[in-house]
Amino acid sequence: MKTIVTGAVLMLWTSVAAHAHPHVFVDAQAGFQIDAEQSLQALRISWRYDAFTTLFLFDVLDLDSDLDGQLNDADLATVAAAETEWQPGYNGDVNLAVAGNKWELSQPQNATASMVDGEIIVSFDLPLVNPADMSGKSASLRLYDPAYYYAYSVSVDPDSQNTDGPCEVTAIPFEPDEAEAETLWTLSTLSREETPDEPDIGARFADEILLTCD
Amino acid sequence: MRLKSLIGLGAVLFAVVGISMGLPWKEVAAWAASMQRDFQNAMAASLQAIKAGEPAAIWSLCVATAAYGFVHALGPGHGKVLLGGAAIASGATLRRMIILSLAASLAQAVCAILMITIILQAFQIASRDAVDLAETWLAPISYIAIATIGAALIVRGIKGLYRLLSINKAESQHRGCGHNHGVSLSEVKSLQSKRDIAALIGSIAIRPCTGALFLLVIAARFDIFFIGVLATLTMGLGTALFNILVAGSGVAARRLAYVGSAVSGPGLQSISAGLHIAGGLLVVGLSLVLLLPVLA
Repeated sequence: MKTIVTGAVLMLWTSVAAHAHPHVFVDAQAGFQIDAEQSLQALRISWRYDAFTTLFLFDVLDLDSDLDGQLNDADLATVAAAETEWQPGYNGDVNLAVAGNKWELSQPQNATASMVDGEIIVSFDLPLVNPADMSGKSASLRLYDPAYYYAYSVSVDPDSQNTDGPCEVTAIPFEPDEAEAETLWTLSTLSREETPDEPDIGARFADEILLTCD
Repeated sequence: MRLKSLIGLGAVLFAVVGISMGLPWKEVAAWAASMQRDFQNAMAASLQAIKAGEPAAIWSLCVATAAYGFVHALGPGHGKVLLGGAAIASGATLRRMIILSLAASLAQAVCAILMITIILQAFQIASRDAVDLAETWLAPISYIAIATIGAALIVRGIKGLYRLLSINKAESQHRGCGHNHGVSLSEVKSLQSKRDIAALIGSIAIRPCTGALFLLVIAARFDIFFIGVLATLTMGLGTALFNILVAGSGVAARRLAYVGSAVSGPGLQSISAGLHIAGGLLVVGLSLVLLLPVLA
């Protein structure tokens, strides 16, 4: 029964993801903060909102009171604070798995905001609740909104890309065909008795940032 | 004759399913999303230009919102499922479906305008709450209303079939008695009464497009609210154009079913009843797909 329900949810999600419409477009950058002992301490995330959403945020957060189109330091502080005060249960659409296990993240820290070419950018650190020993392991980071109201496209934060260390960071962009193939494969395996251990369906349809350590 | 009508009906269902399965939906959706983003940025740039004192930017804003309305209508809501299903089911003419599509999209635009005018100006509710209201409450209400109309189409179709069966039964009982029992059989038709039309338009219009709400909020802030109203209406025209394409396909599919079976009298009625059921099932099915994740 559980497999049937999972299968139905999977199919439903596929069809909704294909037909849902995003309203807010976010160019995100993501990076990993790893210490000398190959322990993953925190994520570095930045969100860059599209110009239209930026103007809407002006109203929502009551920014730019002199209406000159520019944000002063107080406005930027308001943005940084408002964007990183998360309601309980909201994970910022940030999903981390270490060696295949979902990993808990705490609240954002060191948030800053800026505006470039009429687009608001918010950046923050997201510490892991428990640091993860990465030696010989890989971690997968995906940014997605299950409701697809926010459309994320994710790239690797160049500042946190440490090329000479034992770890490597790669971006795997979401390819619709592959996700579809994967869904079909999952559905075909559902006819067996076992159930999929982690049916986090939304993750199958998002860009993935992969951290692989020796 | 009965067989022919079934073949016609089958052809329509086959075409509808074939088209929806055959199209590369995910690629289309990805394309629509990227176009939408471009148009969204063009809207932002035009709004900034108008605020900076370039009245000519009103035209670029209206072009951008119309284009946005068109690609945005590919997503859920905006009534394309209902209009397409109703076009298959109802027997309404192409002309009527075009007018209904236009009316529904413009009513949806007016709904957004009223919502921002009344809620934001009069009640001073924050703009984010207005958007939450639309997404959290009005969207599911619209899906329920649309699914209900789909169900009503199915019920009408079943009633039509039932009537047809009982007439056939009566005829076979009286066979050979010399009387002419030419009962006048009309097609099962919908979207002819004012009530039908109001329900159709209302179910679509009740859920304002979030993009339109964003636009109006920004325009109000820039003190160019009436330009925002104009641009919202052109957004509605863009949406209407897409819906007309869908509704037009529905009308064409219906014609195909009739041509494919070339019948009159009871056959005609069984087709129109069958098309009510097929169109209704399409509407109910697709609305539920959108509604279930909201309820879950």
